[in-house]
Amino acid sequence: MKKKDNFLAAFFKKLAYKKKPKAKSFYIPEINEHSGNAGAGPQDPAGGGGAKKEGKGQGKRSQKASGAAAVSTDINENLEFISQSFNLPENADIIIRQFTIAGEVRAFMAYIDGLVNKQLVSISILRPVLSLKSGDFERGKKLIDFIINNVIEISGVKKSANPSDAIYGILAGKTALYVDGCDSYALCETQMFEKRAVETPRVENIVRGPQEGFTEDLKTNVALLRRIFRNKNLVSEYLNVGYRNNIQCAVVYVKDIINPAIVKEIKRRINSIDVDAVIGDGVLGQLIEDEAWSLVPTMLTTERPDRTAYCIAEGRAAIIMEGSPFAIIVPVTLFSLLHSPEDFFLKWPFAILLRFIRLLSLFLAALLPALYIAITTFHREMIPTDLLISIIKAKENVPFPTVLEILLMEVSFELIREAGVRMPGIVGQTLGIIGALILGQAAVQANVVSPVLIIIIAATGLGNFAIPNFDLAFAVRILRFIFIFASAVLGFYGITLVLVALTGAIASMKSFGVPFLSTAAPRVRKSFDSFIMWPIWKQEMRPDVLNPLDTRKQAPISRKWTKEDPDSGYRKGEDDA
Amino acid sequence: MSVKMAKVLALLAMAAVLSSIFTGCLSDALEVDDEAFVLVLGIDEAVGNAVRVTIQYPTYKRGGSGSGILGGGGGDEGGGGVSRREFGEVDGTIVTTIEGPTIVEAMDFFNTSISRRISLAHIKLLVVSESVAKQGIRDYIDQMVRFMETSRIVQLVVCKGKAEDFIRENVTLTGESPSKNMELMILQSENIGLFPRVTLPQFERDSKSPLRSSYTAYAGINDFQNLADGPAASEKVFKWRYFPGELPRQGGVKREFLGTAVFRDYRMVGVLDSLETTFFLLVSRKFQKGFLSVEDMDAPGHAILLRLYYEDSPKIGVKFQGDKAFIDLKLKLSADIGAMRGESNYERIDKLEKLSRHIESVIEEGMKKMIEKVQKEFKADIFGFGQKAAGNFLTIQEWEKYDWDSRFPEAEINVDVTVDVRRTGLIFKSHPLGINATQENR
Repeated sequence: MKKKDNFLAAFFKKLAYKKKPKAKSFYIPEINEHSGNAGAGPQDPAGGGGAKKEGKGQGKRSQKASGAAAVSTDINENLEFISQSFNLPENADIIIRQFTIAGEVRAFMAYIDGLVNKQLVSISILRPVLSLKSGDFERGKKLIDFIINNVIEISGVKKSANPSDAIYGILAGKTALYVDGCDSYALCETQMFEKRAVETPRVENIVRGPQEGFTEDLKTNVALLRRIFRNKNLVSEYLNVGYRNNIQCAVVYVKDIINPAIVKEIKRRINSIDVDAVIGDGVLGQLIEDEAWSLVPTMLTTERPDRTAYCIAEGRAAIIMEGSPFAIIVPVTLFSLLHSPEDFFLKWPFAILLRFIRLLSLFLAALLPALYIAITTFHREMIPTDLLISIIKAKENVPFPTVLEILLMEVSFELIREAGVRMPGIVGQTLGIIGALILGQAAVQANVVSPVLIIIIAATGLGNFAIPNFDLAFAVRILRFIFIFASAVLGFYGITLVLVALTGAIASMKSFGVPFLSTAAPRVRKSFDSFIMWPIWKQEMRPDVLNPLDTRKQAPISRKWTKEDPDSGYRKGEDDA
Repeated sequence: MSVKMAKVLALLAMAAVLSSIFTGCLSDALEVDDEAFVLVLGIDEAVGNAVRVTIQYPTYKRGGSGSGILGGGGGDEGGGGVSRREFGEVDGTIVTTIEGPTIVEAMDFFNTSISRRISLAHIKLLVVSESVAKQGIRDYIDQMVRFMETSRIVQLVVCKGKAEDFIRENVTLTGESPSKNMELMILQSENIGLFPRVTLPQFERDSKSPLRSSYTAYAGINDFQNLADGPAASEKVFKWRYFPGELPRQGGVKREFLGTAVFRDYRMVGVLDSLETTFFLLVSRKFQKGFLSVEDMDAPGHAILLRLYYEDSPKIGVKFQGDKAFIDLKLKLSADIGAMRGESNYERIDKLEKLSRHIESVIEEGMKKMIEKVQKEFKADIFGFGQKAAGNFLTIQEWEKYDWDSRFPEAEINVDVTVDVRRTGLIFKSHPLGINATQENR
C-alpha cells in the first residue's frame, strides 16, 4: 500500500507543475586591491615582481632584483625557487628534470616545453653531463664553470648568478642548468619554436624590387636586415618592454651614421614604458610616439627589410619587435610617408610621376567629396554649365540633399571596406556583388543617390588606396569626413579653414625631434629626395634634419667612370686604325 | 591641464566653431536642382512697365528634343510639338517673357510661376534689342554688373528686331546641350572674325573709360527670304558686306551673329558690317584667324583666297601737334594663299611681292574707309587709340580736360598695312593650262 502511495505520489509529482530551482550563474567577485595584491604576492615572487623591475630598465635591474638577489648554493632551495616562480605544479609547461652527475652531485635543468629543442637538450646537455665520471671533476662553486667550459656541447651558454636572469632565460626558451653547490645557473640557448617562413610582403607590394618581408621572429628580421646591410657598425640593441610579457624589441641603427641623441631618446622612451603587456609594434608605437593626439602618424611602419635598410643607412633608427612583422622607423617627415619603396628601384622620372600621382591621390582622398559638396551647394558658378546641367538632370529624382547623399555613400563604402577586411576569404566573393551591384548600380537606379556621386566616391576610394602608407591613409579617411562637414557648413571657406588648421597642426608636429614638414618648413639644406626624387647619383647628402654623424652618402662624383676614359674607347670622328 | 582650463578651452573652441557655423553660409546653401539657370536673357522695350525681360532656361529633362533616350521618333518631346510650343518650350529649354520694373525684380516675378529659383550665375548671352540699345542701356548694364549672382563671362549682343523673337529662335539643332551651343556660338568669333566677342564687364569698362568707346556683337534673325530665285547672274558678283538677317541662307538656326554694334556713352550709334568688322578686329588686336579673298589682279572676275595672321601685333603711335592728334597705325600681317585660279605663277618670288602689295592696298583701303566711318560718322573711339594718346599727357586731369571723346573725330589717322604672303598652300608652282602658256610663263 505504502509502495503504491509512493508510486502515485511520484506520478502526480511528474504531472503537477513544479517550480524549477533556479540555477546559480557565475559572477566574477570583486577583489579588494590591497588584499588582492597581498594574495598575489607570494604566488609569483620573481615571475611578476622580479620581471617587472627587469622591464623597468636594464640599468636598474641588478639593484632591484628583489627577494633572491643571489643564487643559493643549495639545490633544494633553488628547486623551490624555480617551482615557486613558475607556479608549479599548476603550470604544466615548465619541466624540471632532476638527475645526479656521476652518482654523487645532484643537479637539475629547467626549461619550458614547446620553446626548446628537446633533442638538442638531451643530446648536447643531458648526455655529456651524465657521462661524466666521478674523477673528472671537483665539487664546489667552480663545478658549473667546468661544465660550461668542458662538458656542454652547445655554442651559446651563459653563466648567470642572478635568479631573475635565469627566470627570464627560461621564459625566452633557454634551458637553465643548476648543479648542487654552485652559485649560478648555466643558461643554454636551446630555443626552437614554430614560426612563419619569410614571405612576400602583404601590405607593401611592389613590382620591381625584393619580394621578402619581415616575419614575426625578431632574430630572423634582424638577420634579414644584416643580410642586405653587411656592416660591423650595424648595431641592434635589445630592450625589454612590458613588465608582464617581457618582450624584446630591437633598436637597429648604424652607429657611425646616426646621431647618438636619437638612439638615446628612443631607448629612454622605451625603457620608461611601464605597461604590463606590450604586444605588437602598434602598441609600442603608440607608447613612444610624439604626437599621441594627432591623426597623422609621425612614425613610419614598414614590413620590408630593404626599405628599413635604406632608412637606417640614411641615419634613422628602426625599432623591430618580437612577434611583429613590422619595423617602426623614426624619425620621419611627412614626405617619407608619401614615398613607396618602389621609388628607389625605378628610374627617377618614373618615380617622379608616381609621386605626383600619389600627391594627387592624397588630395582626391581627402578633398574630393568635400569639394563636390562645396561646389554644388555653394559655388555653382564654378562648374561648367554643361556639367552642371547633367548633374542636375541626374539629381532631379533624388530626394536627399547632397551632403546626405555623400555621407550615405561614404558610410556604405567604409562598410564595404571594413567588411572586406574582416570577411572570411571563402565568402569574400560575395562582397564584390554586394558592393558593386547593390550599393552602386541599384542605389542609382532607385534614385537614392545620383550617378555622379558614384564617380566621386570611387575616385576617393581609389585615391585612398593609392596612398602608400596605411596609417596615413587612415588619417586621410577620417580627415575626409571633417572636410565634408566643413564644406557642408561653410563651403570653400570651410575647407580652407580646416586646411589652414590642419597645415598648422602638421607644421607644429615633431617626430623624434624632427619637424614633421621639414625640408619644406623649416627650410633646411635642399633634399634631393623629399617630394621630387632626383637621380640616385644626385642624392649625395643625408637628410639635413637628421644631423647625422656622416652627412655625405656619396662622393661628390659618385659615378667615377664618367670622368674616366674607357680602356677601349674612341672619339667621334676618329679612325678605327 | 586643470579642469577649469580645459573648460575654458572647450568653451573657446565651441565659440569658434559655432560662430563660424551661425554666421556662415548655411542660409545660402542651395541644392543644385533647386535652381533654374538662365542661359540667355533678353531686354526689350516694355509696353506696360519699365523693361520687358525674356529668359531661356533648360528643362532638365533627360535628353534634348528629337534625340536622346526618350525622344525616339517624334515623341511628344521631339520636333517641338505645338502643345509644348504653347508653353514656350524650345529644344530642351523654356523661353518665357515678363515685364517688370527692373531686371532683378523681373526674376522674382518669374518665380511666381517657375518652381526653381531663377539664377543668373550661368547666363551665357545678354541680348539687347536695337531700339533699347539706341536709347541707352546704362541702367540695365549696371543692374547686371552690380548684381552679385550674374555670371562675369556673359556675352553682350545687340539684336536687330526684338530680343524676345531672337531668343525664341535660339534653338539647339546640333547636339542636345543648349549651353554648349551658346558657348560655342560665341567662340565662333575667334574662328571667323565676323563679329566681336565682348563680355559684359568688358563692355562696362570700355563704356566708362575715358580712353575708349565700347562696342559689341551685332546679331539678328534671318527669315530665309534672301536666297533669291531666278536666273543666275551672267557675271560673277563678289560680295563681302552683310548685316545680320541679310545672308542669303536657307535652313538651320534662324538667329545669326554678324557685324559690330558701336556704342558711345552706353548709346548705340551705328553698326559695322561683316567686312568692316574683320578690319576692325584686325586693328583692335582681337583678330584670331579668318579668311579674306581679294580679286585676282591677273584674272579679273576671280578671287584669291587668303588666310590672315598677325605677323606682329598692331603698333599704334599717337603724337600731338597743338591740340590735334596724329595717329599712326602700323599693321603687319602675313597671309597664306588658300586658293586661287592659278593662271599665273604667284608662287614665284617677284609675283609674290606683287601679290602682297595688292593685298596690302585692298586691306589698307578697306581699313581706312572703316576707320573713317567710325571716326567721322560714329565719333566713337572703339579702337582704343585713346589709350596711347593718354600717354602724351602728364596727368589724368590734363587728359580729361582735353576731352578725347570730342576731339577724336578731328584726329588724323594714318594707316600703314604690310602684308607678307608666307605660304602658298600645298601647291608651290602653278601655271596656265596649255603648252604655249607654260613656255611663256617660264
